[in-house]
Amino acid sequence: MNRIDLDETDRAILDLLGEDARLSNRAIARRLELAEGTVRTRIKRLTDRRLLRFTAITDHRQHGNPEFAFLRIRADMRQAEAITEALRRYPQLRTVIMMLGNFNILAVGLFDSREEIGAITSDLLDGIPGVLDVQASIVTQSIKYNERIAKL
Amino acid sequence: MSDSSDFAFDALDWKIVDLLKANGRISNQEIAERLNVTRASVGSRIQRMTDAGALRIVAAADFGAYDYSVLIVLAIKVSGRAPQAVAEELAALPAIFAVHLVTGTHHVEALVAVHDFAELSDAVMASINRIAGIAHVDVCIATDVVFYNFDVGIAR
Repeated sequence: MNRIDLDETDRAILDLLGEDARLSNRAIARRLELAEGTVRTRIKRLTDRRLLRFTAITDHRQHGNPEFAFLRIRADMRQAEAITEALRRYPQLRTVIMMLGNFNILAVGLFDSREEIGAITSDLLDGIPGVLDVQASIVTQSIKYNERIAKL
Repeated sequence: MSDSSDFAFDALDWKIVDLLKANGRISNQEIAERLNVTRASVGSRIQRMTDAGALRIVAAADFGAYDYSVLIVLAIKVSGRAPQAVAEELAALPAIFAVHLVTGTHHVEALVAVHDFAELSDAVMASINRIAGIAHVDVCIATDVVFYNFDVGIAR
């Protein structure tokens, strides 16, 4: 996460789009008193630099994998690269973050069932050298998730 | 919160959703042309999915676009208070961008994005420490995001 120099105009455009992703370039231009071409150029530059992405977020229950869980993995970090490569092979795992702390890897996933969470937990422990402990926390209720900021 | 669990996307809904996931700014007109349906039908389906809380079209900004350079994962144990009440107080803090109630060794998972470590200690941890019922906070600092998919989310 390097520092990226954006000016006030870029931020103002991001803020307006954060409120309404479908706002037209013309409406943004009018609200910020810019030329429509400027808005178009800025949005293109932000998306090309992967600082902005327009997408659609769907409720995970529509995907037929209603269980949402956090897996905290304690791993031998000398084998971190092989472990993250192995984690990529599980389509259930949506996000993997390396950490400093009590556990070194956080994997966030969507699963068919609680049984599948158990099976994958066992599989990680048995099948991936260097995985020492896996602790699963199953989400019972999501209170907040701000998807306006993300790792793009 | 609306509940989309009693409503399921049909084949045409999924085709619309897939186009929107690839480009959230595609116009209803263009979706209609690509799928050979009417623009009104595209509009009403997007509206229905959105109203059910099952679809949100978003403009996501990278953490770096707002100079967030530190990402923290918190595992919080609660004692003597309903975890939901604690989670709701945590959710009110702007630096905390995700809060979930979980089963397991702790009660709440929270993700925090801050500009630097000074902000973490001065603003975030100070606010967290004022919340009643927090027995223990386990703090992990993210050092690398290996992959991050966020296009499947929670109902609203």
